[in-house]
Amino acid sequence: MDLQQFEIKILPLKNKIYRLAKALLTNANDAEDAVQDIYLKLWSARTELEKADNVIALSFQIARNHCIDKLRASNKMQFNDLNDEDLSKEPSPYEQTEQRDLVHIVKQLIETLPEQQRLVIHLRDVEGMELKEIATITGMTENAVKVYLSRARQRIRESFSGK
Amino acid sequence: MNNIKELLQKYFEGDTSLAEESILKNYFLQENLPDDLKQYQTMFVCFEQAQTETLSDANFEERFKKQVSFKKHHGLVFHIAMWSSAAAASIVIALGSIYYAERQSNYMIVNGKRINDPEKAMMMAAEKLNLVTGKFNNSVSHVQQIGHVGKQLSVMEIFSKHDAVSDTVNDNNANKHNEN
Repeated sequence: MDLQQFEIKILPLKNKIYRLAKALLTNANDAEDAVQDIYLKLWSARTELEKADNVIALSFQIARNHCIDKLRASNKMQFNDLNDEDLSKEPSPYEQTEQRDLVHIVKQLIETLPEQQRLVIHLRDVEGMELKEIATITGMTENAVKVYLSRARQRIRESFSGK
Repeated sequence: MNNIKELLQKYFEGDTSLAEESILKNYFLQENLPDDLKQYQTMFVCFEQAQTETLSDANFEERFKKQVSFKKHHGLVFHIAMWSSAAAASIVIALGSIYYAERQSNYMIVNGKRINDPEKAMMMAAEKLNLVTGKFNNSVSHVQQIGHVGKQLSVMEIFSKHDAVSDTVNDNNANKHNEN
């Protein structure tokens, strides 16, 4: 894949990749920086991208791996993916009244979800991807993706329906 | 409405298709919602807003292309420089070897001394040749001098022979006179 093809196929994914990075890193500045690094990795992987059946899925997989490495490096990783049932970082009542922005609160809620749930709900509900694609990107089975998706959605519902 | 509630239930179970989720999104993005469903609106609005988030760096693509082109170009220049240096080094080594081999094979011994420098050897050879030529010329002049003396001697010899014949003739005439 030469620069021209890369420009047509991969560069237009920049905003999607930015959003994925932001969903995982939960910080706009970190996400912006990550996109630069991710694109250099994508350029290095251009031969594999050319051969890939699903270019977007492989690009997202590379982006996801980069962000997870970043999270691990900064010790932000959350290890209690499947079994955690509490939302430890729920916004305080002060923050809730202060922000008065329900959308912002939901965004914050999503940010507090365990990493895999955060990624799955982002890829499905924001990017509108098929379960199969999400399974490829995350390295899970389709069934596991469904479980994570259901948990994430229910977690959000519980948090705002309880208010 | 019931259809929406059913779909919503399926949605929270993770069982809806993308098409069904699209119906839900369209429904919840409208303004007038029944009170019991209003609470879910924020969630769908949040996803809708997240979809519009973009990279703030407007020159990202241009910068990326420059960066990659520079790397590529830089890489090419490096390769050219490296191979040129290697080629130049090979030529220098090859020429050096030939020169050394030539120096080793072409030499002369003068007065027991080995001389590899062709110029020096030529000079020494010319010097010796001059010496030899000089000696030869000297010898020739000596020979010429000897030849000259030889000539003088032969002339003298002729004269002396002539004198002897005259004496003999005079003697014979005297004898004849005496006999008469």
